[in-house]
Amino acid sequence: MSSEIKSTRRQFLAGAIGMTALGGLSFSGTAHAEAQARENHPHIDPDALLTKEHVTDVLVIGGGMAGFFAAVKASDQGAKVILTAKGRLGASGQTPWARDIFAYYPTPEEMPLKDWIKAINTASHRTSNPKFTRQLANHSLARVNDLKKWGFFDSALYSKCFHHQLKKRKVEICERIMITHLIKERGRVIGAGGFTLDDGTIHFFSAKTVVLATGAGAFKPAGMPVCDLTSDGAMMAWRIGARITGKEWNDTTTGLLNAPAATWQRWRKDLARKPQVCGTDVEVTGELGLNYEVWKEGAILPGLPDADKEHKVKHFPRGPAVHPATGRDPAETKPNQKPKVHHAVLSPPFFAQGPPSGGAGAGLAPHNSEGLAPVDLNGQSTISGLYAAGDALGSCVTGAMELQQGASLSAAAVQGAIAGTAAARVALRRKSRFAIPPDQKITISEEILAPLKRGRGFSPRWVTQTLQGIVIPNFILYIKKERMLEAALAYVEELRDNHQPLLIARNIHELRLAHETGNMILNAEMKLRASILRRESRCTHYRVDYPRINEQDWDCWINIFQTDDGTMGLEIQPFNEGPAT
Amino acid sequence: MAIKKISGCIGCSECVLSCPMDVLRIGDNGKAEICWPEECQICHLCRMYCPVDAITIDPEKSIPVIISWG
Amino acid sequence: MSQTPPVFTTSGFFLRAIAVFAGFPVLFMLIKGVFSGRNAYLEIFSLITVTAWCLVPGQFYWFPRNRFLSLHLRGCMLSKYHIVTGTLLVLLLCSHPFLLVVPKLFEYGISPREAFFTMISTPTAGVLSGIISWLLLATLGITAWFRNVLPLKYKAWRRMHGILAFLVLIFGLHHVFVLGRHITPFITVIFTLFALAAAVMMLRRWFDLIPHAKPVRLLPPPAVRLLPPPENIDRLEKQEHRPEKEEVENEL
Ligand SMILES: Cc1cc2nc3c(=O)[nH]c(=O)nc-3n(C[C@H](O)[C@H](O)[C@H](O)COP(=O)(O)OP(=O)(O)OC[C@H]3O[C@@H](n4cnc5c(N)ncnc54)[C@H](O)[C@@H]3O)c2cc1C
Ligand code: SF4
Ligand code: SF4
Repeated sequence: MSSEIKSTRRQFLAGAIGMTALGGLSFSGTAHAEAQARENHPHIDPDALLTKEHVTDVLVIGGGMAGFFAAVKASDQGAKVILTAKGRLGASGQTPWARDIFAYYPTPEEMPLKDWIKAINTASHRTSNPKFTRQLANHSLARVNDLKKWGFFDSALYSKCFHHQLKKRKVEICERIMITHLIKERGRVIGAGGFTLDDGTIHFFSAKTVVLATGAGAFKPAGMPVCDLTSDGAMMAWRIGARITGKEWNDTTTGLLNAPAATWQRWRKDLARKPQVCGTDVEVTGELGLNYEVWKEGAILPGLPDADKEHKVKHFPRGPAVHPATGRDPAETKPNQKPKVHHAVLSPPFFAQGPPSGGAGAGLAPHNSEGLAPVDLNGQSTISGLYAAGDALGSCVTGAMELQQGASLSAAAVQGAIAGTAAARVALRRKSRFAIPPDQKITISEEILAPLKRGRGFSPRWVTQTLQGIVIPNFILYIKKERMLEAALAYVEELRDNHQPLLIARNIHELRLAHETGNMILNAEMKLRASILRRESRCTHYRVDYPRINEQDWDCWINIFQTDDGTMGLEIQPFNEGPAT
Repeated sequence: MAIKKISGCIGCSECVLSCPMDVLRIGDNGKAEICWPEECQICHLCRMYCPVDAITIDPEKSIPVIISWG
Repeated sequence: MSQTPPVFTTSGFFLRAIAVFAGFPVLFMLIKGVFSGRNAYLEIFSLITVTAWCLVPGQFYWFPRNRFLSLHLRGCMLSKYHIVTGTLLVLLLCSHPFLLVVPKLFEYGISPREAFFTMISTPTAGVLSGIISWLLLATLGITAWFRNVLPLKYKAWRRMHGILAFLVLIFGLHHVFVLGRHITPFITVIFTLFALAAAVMMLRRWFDLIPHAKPVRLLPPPAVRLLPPPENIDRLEKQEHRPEKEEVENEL
């Protein structure tokens, strides 16, 4: 990258950050014009890229916990399975960072199942879906035992364990492929298309059923290791007609002010240890995090707690955490008691926990609260043959907030296994296979390669940072009011209409960034629209203009779908009309 | 500045595979190269997978960050 | 220049030699900034390995019957240095691939065994030359320790020892140049010079080019010197004029 371009971006960034601080007063106009004038000189010849085709029964997209279990269980059903992931199996998405996995032990020491489900439903102001909560409890121990058998708990790095199990089952693993398109034919999903990050080869997967386990998505925030997740799965599913739920909820994790992007330093305590099992422990940790206090007080006050010690609002009763599965003594497995980590000499130097910064997970929703709207407990989406699992499924296991330690990793395992099994059964039952029509292939290839072929336009990094400047500020993302949301929406629509179509890429790395940027813009629009619609405050959604919970009108989830003219439609799904068994 | 330095690399490509952000590539000399440090999310996954601890990572990002408040 | 013979206290000589062989590159390593964010163990590990490697060329100078040095040091002292440092070097350098993966014990990431296996199964030139020099070095160490049990005449053994050492130097240098963490162009030049000098030294000895008698004193005497007690002067002189029969025989 030439220094000229760099300085352009820096100048703009100064503007973007100033804007964040000043409350969105101005936009850096000059940088805008400069960026627009940028010519694209690709380092590779897009026309020389190859195309490869794969045929399978079940296609699993995503290499996290959900994708892994989907592939394992689908292949155990006897189906031919291909797993693809944007990164490495077990080393991409959020799975590499999760260290606590929940298991429900039906022992007298644990909270009774009914009470636990009730506690979660109450604590989450009924945003949880009790059927999925129950499903998690019923299956979690079996999944944890599977993982124990496979040596998952022996290392903090999961790739080897996952690879070993899939290779044993002869699952074809296609890593470093970014899927950009789901392909639908006659109301049914028939495959997917994407490109490899290494050489840009375009891959088409023809499948009878597809399990989407692409995880959640965020705005490439500083402070959480989730920057590879840009809601790709939900966005491509939306484009072919699936319903997306839960976009108004927010993850409220904070970072470290003296180095906001230092995710490893922030999560060091967790990242440097092996995974462990934890039992029932319903706990409400600050619903809005520190965002509300900061907004109210107007600044970070010296008295505010460290990033690590967020407010604990309520504590539900729980039994002692006894874990028959691990066979360890209760004190050792107590969920909140982290094992000793060796870091004094043997890990790179780090700084003390300092004052917090906001928006470490900007764009993320509480786990399992956003994603494809399920129509049944198998994770079947509104499109035939398309299943979702884990963070990609809006199952609302613990509702619009995180209430149970380890539940999201466990839910990914449980839902992955169930979706994989269901997808394999359907695939094996289906005799016919729809081939991907040649003209669709051409269109998709064109769409994938467009940023490489564009002669001039905007760099994905610039557009991403502009988007971040618009949606990440506290007064847009967390402390919402209608006027401000509308204003941000106008900016986002501008990006969507006049910038996304002009994204350029000079190499495959930037091609990936371009597609991710497109997904983030769409995701931002969804988040803003859903936030505008929900005229109340509940859980992690806070509206200054509607600061009370409104149980009468808003005991419902918001689903987003594509209308016939391609625009965004929103619908309301009452809590008591959740997916039935 | 995010991922900072690679020294003593033996060229096993573990880090290239395990970087979720596609920051690294194997260069012409057969060693891992930091190609796009702008994208580095300072997650230390590459360092943890590197068999010879060749990678040094800085807590600061190489481009300015945008946060909700601070 | 005066006629007074130089006095090298044995430890002083040793320290100076170490300063030349080890101190110099280590100094540059420090200036370049090794201590830059890696954990303390790895920094110390690096320092030890680099120091050990820097002392390798020294071994070629400290071989027991180096005429030039035995002027100032008694042969048995020299051979003691050679054996002590040599043993240390072989141990350190042979264990460095294992020491390198020790931090993996403390992180719950990949296990030391996995790391080691990944390492040695990476088919790149630097790793290969590393493995080759490891094998050579191990052979060197073993054949030196068990010289007495080997069915080899002293002369043949010594030639083998020299050849092995020379090969270690060549493959080791390749390994160091390709994989060394602290390699800079300057250090490359220094190492190359050390190695060349060592090679010349050895070849000269093989072809009997080192003058047998009347070696020239290269170093000026110190300003002040402690007078050794009379019997010591005696011995020094005796040693200087004594024709070392055994040595001449053994010269190749
Ligand atoms: C720092 C941190 C700590 C956490 N700690 C815990 C914890 O202690 N306990 C707990 O229960 N949960 C925890 N979580 C949450 C937990 O990690 C996730 O809920 C869970 O791992 C989700 O798994 P998943 O398989 O659904 O998605 P992910 O693990 O996010 O996997 C998504 C996969 O999809 C792939 N993908 C994405 N887009 C594409 C695309 N376009 N094409 C192809 N592939 C794509 C990615 O490469 C990745 O492999 C934590 C999360 C974070 C960030
Ligand atoms: S720290 Fe994380 S994002 Fe940065 S290069 Fe390493 S693996 Fe990639
Ligand atoms: S993992 Fe380490 S040794 Fe392997 S290629 Fe990457 S930096 Fe080099």
